Amino acid sequence: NVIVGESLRQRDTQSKIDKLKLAVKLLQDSKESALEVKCLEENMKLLRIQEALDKDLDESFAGLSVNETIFKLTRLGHWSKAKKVQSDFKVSERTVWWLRLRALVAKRDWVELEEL
Amino acid sequence: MAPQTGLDAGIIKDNARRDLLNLLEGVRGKKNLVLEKALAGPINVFVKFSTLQDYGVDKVFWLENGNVDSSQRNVVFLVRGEKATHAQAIGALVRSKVKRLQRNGQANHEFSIFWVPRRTLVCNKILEDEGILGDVNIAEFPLYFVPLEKDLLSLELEDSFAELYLCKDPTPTFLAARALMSLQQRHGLFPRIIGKGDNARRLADLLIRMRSEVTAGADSSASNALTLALTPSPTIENLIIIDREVDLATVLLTQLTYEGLIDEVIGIQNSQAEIDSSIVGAAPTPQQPGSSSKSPVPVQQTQQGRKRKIQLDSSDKLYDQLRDSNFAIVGGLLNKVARRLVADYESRHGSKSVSELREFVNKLPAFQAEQQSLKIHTGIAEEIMKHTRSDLFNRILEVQQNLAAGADPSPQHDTIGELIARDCPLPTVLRLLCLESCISGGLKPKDLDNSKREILHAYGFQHLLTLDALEKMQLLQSRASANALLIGPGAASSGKTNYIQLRKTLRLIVDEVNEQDPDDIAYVYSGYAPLSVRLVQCILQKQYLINITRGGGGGANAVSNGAQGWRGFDDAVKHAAGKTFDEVQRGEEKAVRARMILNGQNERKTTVVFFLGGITFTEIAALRFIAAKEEGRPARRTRGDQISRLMCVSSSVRAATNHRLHDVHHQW
Repeated sequence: NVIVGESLRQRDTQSKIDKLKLAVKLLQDSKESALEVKCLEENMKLLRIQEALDKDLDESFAGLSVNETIFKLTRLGHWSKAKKVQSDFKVSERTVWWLRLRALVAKRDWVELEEL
Repeated sequence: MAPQTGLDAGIIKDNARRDLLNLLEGVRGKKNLVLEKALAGPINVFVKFSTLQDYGVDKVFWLENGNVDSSQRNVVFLVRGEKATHAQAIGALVRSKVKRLQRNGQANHEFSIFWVPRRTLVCNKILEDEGILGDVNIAEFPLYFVPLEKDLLSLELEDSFAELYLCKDPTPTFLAARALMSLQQRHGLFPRIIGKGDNARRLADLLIRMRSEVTAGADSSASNALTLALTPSPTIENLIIIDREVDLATVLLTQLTYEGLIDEVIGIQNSQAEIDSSIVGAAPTPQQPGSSSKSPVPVQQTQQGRKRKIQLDSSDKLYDQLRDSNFAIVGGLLNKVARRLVADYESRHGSKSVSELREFVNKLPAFQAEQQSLKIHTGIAEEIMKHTRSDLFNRILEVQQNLAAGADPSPQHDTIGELIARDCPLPTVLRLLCLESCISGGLKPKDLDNSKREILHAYGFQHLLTLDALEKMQLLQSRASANALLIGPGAASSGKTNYIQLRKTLRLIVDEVNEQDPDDIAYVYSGYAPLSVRLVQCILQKQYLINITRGGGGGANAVSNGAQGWRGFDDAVKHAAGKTFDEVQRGEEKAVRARMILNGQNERKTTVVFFLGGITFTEIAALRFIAAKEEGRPARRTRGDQISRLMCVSSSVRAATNHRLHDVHHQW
């Protein structure tokens, strides 16, 4: 069963949400891969968010990971949006601080850094 | 028969070169050579391109690019035959070529395919399917061992690790057996085969079986030479096969010798490293050395990103000294050499007479070469220093050392989490996690899930597959499943290597390490002695090991000097994963005795150590260290003085992890 799901997953991760759904369905049958199912679902969510962001901000987010998305949002100055992504994916506070720190440095936004 | 001068990598080198050139000569006229990229490195080790040109090679193409032009009448393909995908690529390529040429009405091209190292049935089948089997000349080019050093042979199979442990593909084992067999045919049987690990067992079985096949064949054809060759070797004492699976933790640690660090930071392949030319200076144009105003920064105008290949082997004397020492002392050594060079150079002022001057001039080329290599290595060392001084590197090292020493792993997770958040390269993070899993027998399920989530968030969801692959190889697992495994197939022979036990019994952690003048192999990791090499010591240096494990004196006579094989360490060895075995190969008594008389008893014997699934440079360093030690102790009768290390792959860990990633990437 796992093997079936796996072989399907290999192809399916190709950013096509519906295919991901298929994989989830197949995986749900086996109990051991609960974590995988959750991750795949999160992945779908991420893809949707990125799609929306692409439209809103006129920047390409496709293919980035969660952290990278937060990083990019912070660098572009959309801190509130980044915050939302964080809460959506339950990224830990520590991680976000690191990301924010790096992003602000990359942006050379010393003023905001001072405020932190 | 071949001269019995012990193991000599030079012979193997010459053989390989001759074989290849003979094959090339067999194709008449000028030819274009199509190479598989992975083969270029190994071939470069024993043949120069200019030599190839002498044999009528006009241009070299990469198979992967698929752009063969038809400027020459002959096209020669040189490809590994083990991989079906490659065979298919050739098939398609050749067919399209043939088709086009035939359409143009000039069908006088000749195609030759040389399979490395052997022609397989699959290859034939594919060519048949493509309908070109009849149109090509096919030959085999039996390249097994690539000699990298005079004490180091390698199969140079880049992904043997993934093949063995992820795909459970026995191909590397088979190739290794063939390679070792060729050694046996030259030097006689390995009198004793000792090994550890399931795959090692398989390899030994294959060897024994191949031997019986050869003997059976020899009986019918009554070829005298063959049977003669298959008596126990007078020059080799034993063969030690270590399965990579036995000791995965060693691979996961950061290598701390000079060569190891070069590999970690820059990467070494086929004893060559590609280094940015801004670090090591531009290509070796014969510069005037010694012009006192030596600018600290090498020529700046070389555009960035240009790579230069640096040959890293013992032909470079300086490197030969440096390679196996702990990086901590490399700076000092370099400094010393630099001073000596300057002093030597200054000595010219002291020389007055013509003869003295001439002597100096004669030495000049050597000086220049040495200076050149000094410059290169200073550059490399500085670059590595930059790396080792970085905050990230030290964090990583700290985690590693703590884990290896068996400290409580949970605080390390915070550090790992921080590393993830700071976007440090994925393989590094995975290495740390796998290391923990290996040493403490799995992570706690909660920790594991947490880390997995963090990784997926930070590096993208496609790594779900990467993680999956790691779990499949049991590199990364939760503690619960580790226990389940132990219960399953019986706890004794299977399961994982138990580092907690072994750490004590084999003294893997040495607290006080003398990096300047090492007295134990633990120096290569600044305090951790690689388990794999400790196992080798179990066989070769019993006395020594007993002394350090039991704290000197006490148990000295527990093992008599004559004990062979694993004896004396059975208990300890049991805690490592996989099967243990010890086979003695005997030949006909008479022949043996005759041999003994012929060769005399007092010759030093060689022990061959074979790592199935790859070795790290640090382990090589440690083995060299043992070899040097044994040489200095004449009291030991026939113990191996020159330990020949045969590695199956030169891939280091990083390579191994990367390969896993690659694998996964390939799959979709």
